[in-house]
Amino acid sequence: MKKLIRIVSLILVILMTTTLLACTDTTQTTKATQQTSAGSGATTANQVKKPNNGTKYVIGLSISGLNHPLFAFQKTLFEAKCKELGVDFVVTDGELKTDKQLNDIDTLISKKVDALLIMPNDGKALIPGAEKATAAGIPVFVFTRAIPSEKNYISFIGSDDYAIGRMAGDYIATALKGKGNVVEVTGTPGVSTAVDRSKGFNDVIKNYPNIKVVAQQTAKYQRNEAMTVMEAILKANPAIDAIWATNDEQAGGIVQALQANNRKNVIVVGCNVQKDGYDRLISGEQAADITFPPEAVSKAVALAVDYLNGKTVPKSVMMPIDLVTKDNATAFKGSTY
Amino acid sequence: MEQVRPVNKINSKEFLKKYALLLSFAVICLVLTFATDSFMTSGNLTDIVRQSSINGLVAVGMTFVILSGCIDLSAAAIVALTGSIAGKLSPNPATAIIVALTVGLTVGLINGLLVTKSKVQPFILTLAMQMIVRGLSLVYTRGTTVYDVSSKFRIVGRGAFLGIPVPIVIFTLVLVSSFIILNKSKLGRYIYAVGSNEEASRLSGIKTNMIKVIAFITSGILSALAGIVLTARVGAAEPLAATGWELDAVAAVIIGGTSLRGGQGGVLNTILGVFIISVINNGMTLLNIESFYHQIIKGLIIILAVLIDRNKNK
Repeated sequence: MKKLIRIVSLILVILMTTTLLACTDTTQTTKATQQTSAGSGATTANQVKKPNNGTKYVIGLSISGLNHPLFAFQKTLFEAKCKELGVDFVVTDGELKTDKQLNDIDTLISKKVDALLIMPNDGKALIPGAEKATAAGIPVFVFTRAIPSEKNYISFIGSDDYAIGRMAGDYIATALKGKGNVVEVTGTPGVSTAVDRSKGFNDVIKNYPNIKVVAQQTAKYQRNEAMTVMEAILKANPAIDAIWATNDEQAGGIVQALQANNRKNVIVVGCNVQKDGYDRLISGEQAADITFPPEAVSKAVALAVDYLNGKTVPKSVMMPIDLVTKDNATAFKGSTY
Repeated sequence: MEQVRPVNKINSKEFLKKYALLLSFAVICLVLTFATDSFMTSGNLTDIVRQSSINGLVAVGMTFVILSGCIDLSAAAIVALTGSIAGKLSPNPATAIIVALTVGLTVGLINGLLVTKSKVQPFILTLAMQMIVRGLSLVYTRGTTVYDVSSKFRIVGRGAFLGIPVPIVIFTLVLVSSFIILNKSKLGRYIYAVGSNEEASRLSGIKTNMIKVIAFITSGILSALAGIVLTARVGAAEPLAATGWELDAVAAVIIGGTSLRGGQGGVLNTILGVFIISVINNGMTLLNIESFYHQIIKGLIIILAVLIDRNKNK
């Protein structure tokens, strides 16, 4: 028995030593890649890149999660655009967890994708992921939500959530002629879209002393939660003039609550222009909506392919946001999801 | 020397201990009545009961499983899956309901068989099943929300029967049937027996595996019923529906006084737990307490409730 243990220990020691030596080697190669790519920096393209695997470029997608209509639609758009431009793709699902998303990025780096598109669940938390990809020589393109680390990505294609919040605030302030009670139903606490849209909205509203925010609660971007929360808010506040719903899923639940409580003439503002949001604009249940173009992902694919083909690409592309009401809704019908 | 206590004299200290949880609930309601203008209004109370009627179904199903000595962490996932299925099939309400309930039954059956045949902890198995079922929801809906839920189907969530909202009627029927089954039937006695001492039950001839399977099937069917009512109420079925409901259900069961070890407690206990949680959630929104604090307060109250309840046994 003692002899067996000795032999096993010896084998283990040999295995560990060889693994450690192998590890040191890879770190040195990564450092070398870092030095060469540091030259091209995080600005624009220089030469055409050869595909890492086979004859076609492979674009990797790390998206925050696939269980929301917006993200599910973006995945569809991504795949369609890749097919259109003749490139292969790999899709990973972050399941709305930062650690899963960081693991996904690791996987895509090991797969040696030619370009990496990231839509972060939490932009700041994904800086290490973007760093790692950039260090490995993979160009990073961030879309829809930002990663605040300019040197670690080539381009950011997105919508300005803060501006969206301000747009909602402006619309409500104008519609109420500067006076009234408003409710804010925020999105999932901590998520950048929720945080920025709320900040934009409140920065506008605080300039109107006669507009009072009577309630501010989160519905965690869930429709049923929005309905439940709104029902209680309606009971606690007999006079409500306008509601910033933060997105259309929540607007859906909020409108349900308004109807169940027989509250009429309340201005509801949503965002994302989902199919049911569009329907509510036409029927009058929702006063306004704001676009949040999912096509940011298609633009990101296009820029990635341009970059790989040696073209110059801009550092930042802001997708336009539009205020949509019953009057101009038909123009946006084609881009609902 | 044994102390002889008069049988018909109720010691006030003992009364307080035994009904501590119920009294705490009454105190919370009293505080909210004075702290807000809207808590003790018929509209708000109806809301609370109606909202509790939906996740209460999951909690009742969970009670069956916990009483038998197991746990079902896949319950909320079943709500979401069956909710989406019912939503898509809603133009024909009868079909939608039958298919959704059958799916719930099937998942419950699979859970029961896995737990009894593999001897692996129900915690792990139902956790894995939760992932599978959530995944199935995503595949079925492609990650998008099911929107066009037919108005015929929505009567289940929005209609009223003799003036009482349908979800409340459904929940009351389920509550009464569950109480009768658990307290007045052989099946109920067996469930308690298996939960309190599985080996002894088996030795006395009870088919313990079948009892556990029945408990899981009950949880599956009731979760499916919750999915149906939820989709009917909200008018849409989202992929993230019912997120966290299984933990809320377990919390309700434990707060109510049913032991996680099995064999002790019941549905009436669970209802108290469900209402305590609903009232706390409602109260925090009425008082416009900042959202960030909600979870902390809820967790603290759960700990408090459990301590009060455990104390009654000392």
